[in-house]
Amino acid sequence: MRLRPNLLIGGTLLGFVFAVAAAALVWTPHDPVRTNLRRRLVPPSQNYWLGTDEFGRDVASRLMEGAVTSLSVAASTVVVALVLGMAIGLAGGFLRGWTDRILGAVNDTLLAFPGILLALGLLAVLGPSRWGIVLALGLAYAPSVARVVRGSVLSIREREFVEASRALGNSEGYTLLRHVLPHTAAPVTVLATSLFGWVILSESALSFLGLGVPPPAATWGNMLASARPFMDQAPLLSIAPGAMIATCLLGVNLLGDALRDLLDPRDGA
Amino acid sequence: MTPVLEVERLSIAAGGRRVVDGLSFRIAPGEALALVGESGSGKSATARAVIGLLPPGLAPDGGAIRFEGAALAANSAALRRLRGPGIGMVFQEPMTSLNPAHRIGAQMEEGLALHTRLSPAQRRDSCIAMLERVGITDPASRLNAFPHEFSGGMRQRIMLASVMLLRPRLLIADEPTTALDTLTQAEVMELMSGLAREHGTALLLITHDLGLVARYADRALVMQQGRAVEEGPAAPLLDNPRQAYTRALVDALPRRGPARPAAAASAPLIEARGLCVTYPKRGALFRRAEIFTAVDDVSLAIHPGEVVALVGGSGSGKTTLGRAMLRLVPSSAGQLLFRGQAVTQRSGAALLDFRLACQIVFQDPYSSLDPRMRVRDIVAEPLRLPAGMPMAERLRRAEVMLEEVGLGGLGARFPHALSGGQRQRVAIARALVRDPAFVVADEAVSALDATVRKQVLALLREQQRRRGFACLFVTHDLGVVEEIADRIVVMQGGRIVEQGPRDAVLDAPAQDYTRALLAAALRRPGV
Repeated sequence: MRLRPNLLIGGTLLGFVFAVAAAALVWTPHDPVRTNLRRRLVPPSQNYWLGTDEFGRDVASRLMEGAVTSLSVAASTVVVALVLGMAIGLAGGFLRGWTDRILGAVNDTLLAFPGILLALGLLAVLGPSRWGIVLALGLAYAPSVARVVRGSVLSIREREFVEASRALGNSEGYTLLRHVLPHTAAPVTVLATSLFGWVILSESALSFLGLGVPPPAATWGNMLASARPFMDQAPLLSIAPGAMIATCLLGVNLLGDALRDLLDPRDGA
Repeated sequence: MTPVLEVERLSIAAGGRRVVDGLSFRIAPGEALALVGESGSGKSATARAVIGLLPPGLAPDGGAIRFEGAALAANSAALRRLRGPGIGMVFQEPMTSLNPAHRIGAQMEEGLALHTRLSPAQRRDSCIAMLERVGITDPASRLNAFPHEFSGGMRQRIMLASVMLLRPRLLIADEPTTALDTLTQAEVMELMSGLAREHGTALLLITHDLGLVARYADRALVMQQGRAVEEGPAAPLLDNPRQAYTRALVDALPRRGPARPAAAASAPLIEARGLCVTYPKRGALFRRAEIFTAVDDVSLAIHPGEVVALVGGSGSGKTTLGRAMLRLVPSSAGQLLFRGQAVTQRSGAALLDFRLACQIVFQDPYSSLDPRMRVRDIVAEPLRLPAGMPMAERLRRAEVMLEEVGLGGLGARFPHALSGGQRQRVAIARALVRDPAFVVADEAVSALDATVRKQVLALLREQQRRRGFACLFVTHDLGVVEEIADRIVVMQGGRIVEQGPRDAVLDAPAQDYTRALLAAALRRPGV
């Protein structure tokens, strides 16, 4: 197999982000939530690599802690969106008829709301918490997954190998799992990687609006939000989490493209 | 007299490989030359080089092309002036060679507007006259129709009309009728050679089908792997081929085998009684959908070990009947009996029993094999049912089956790494691995090159003799039927119009429709 630059660069960037998160699980230079008001907005030094924030918390430590939170929130959200979306999409696309019409109507209604608005509404009900965000964003993004899955199922179910599977006497369930589902892997993988990026952005946006993961827990989003008033005095406070978000997104998108190519058996053999 | 086209030691390279290697030929004004060869012989690349439209990746690699004595210009402006009035081209796929976004009138007119000084009204008149000539009814109003409103055959006529409007001195037709059924193919070919004769246009016909050559070409040039194998007047070349390769191509034309003794009066294996299949036509919004009857009150019995050919043009309902007999599409009325028992209403385990005894081979081996499965897994899959066979045994049997269809050692490949003929062998292996009693072969060889078709047919016949399954062979090509069928059933408009033993139907067809099918079938000349 040829090593693709997308795979290499994307893997390196994302690998760096995950390494930071993994390191945070065992060690951070300082306690990320301990405040020290005498050492507010300290510039970078040997002790504080990226300086401290407005409460005197170590930015580098919070960035590492934030990686864990942001990545785990994004990953759980993507899983929720995929499970929901694939169930809806597969059922609608494969069963057709009334099931498809009802699911489609619900789906289209949800799609008509901007995802972030939907999440805002849900969060107002659920209250801001980590799992509230996962559920809200998961619900908000599931319809796009359902759309993509339903579309590819509709085109695949008409292919003759699906009919051939029925002619063999295979049950509908087996046909769906063995011959239809694997073909949705490529579009869904690409979508899942973009979703991962969108969720990180949405979570940041929600934090910015004060509806994200509640402080004092650190996420890149709420770090960015709280750094806003201090852009002049301590620009690193916004640049650091911003750079992490950008690195993560770029890595995810590059990797998504590379994965799509790899998942196609026509390139493998 | 100056030849219209003179090709001298033409070579075309794809990367480091030569797809055409030192090819020379000439075409006199008004002459029809056929370039014959199988996929990959370089015939299409040659045609495209002549009109200066080589696809990316292919490049001329020496040699000369002269059109009416002058070297084919390399600069694109001069080439563009030549395309149209000098050289016209008709492509294989009428579905994709007309732009679906434009009305056909606008598309036909394009060439006239570009190359002549006719006024818009004059252009319109010529378009109407030409459409009428190619047999489009009500041409004036059809000018405003879009390509999707026409059938494949009609589109190819329109394509032909728009090319011939400019009265080119040379017409290149690249597999012009391969995508059409035999009846339509015959009509379009007649029309094409008629138009060429009327306008004194020379014809370069690219085809893999020697049957077409015998009828529509003056001379033929047989190509193999980029080189000329044999060239000469068409009729003697076919009757008396000098080269082994040409002989193999000629032998691949269908030929009737000896009739088998009629099956003893046994109980039918599978029987349709008054079977109907209907579809709702897609109705407009708020309007009740109309019902379209694809199969109309058909009764057909197939006996164990019998090969029945189901023949008809496109839209005759033959494919639908084949699927309905396997219960792959639901029937709306009538009964289906298997070994004397009704299966029309079966479901669950009882339906599975029926499924286990029946199989199907589809037309298109590109879409009937799951591209994500290895060949050996595809062939082993039917053995999942009935449950109980261990995986190792399934795979062992799959390998044996692959060996039998001539694909030993290729089990680890994915379908995309196989040729069309090999894929169809995989589809046949999958259908036969469970030893079915009844197999439907739906246009199983229509998508294959002539020599490959011959081999796949031979494989099917040999397996049929060995395993003794009954077979419903669905096809539009009576030529194929001659080789394999015991009995022929002809369908038209959803009904059976004629049926009988093979020789009786072929030698003394009772219906006009059967006679038309027979006339259109490309068979070994002189037999």
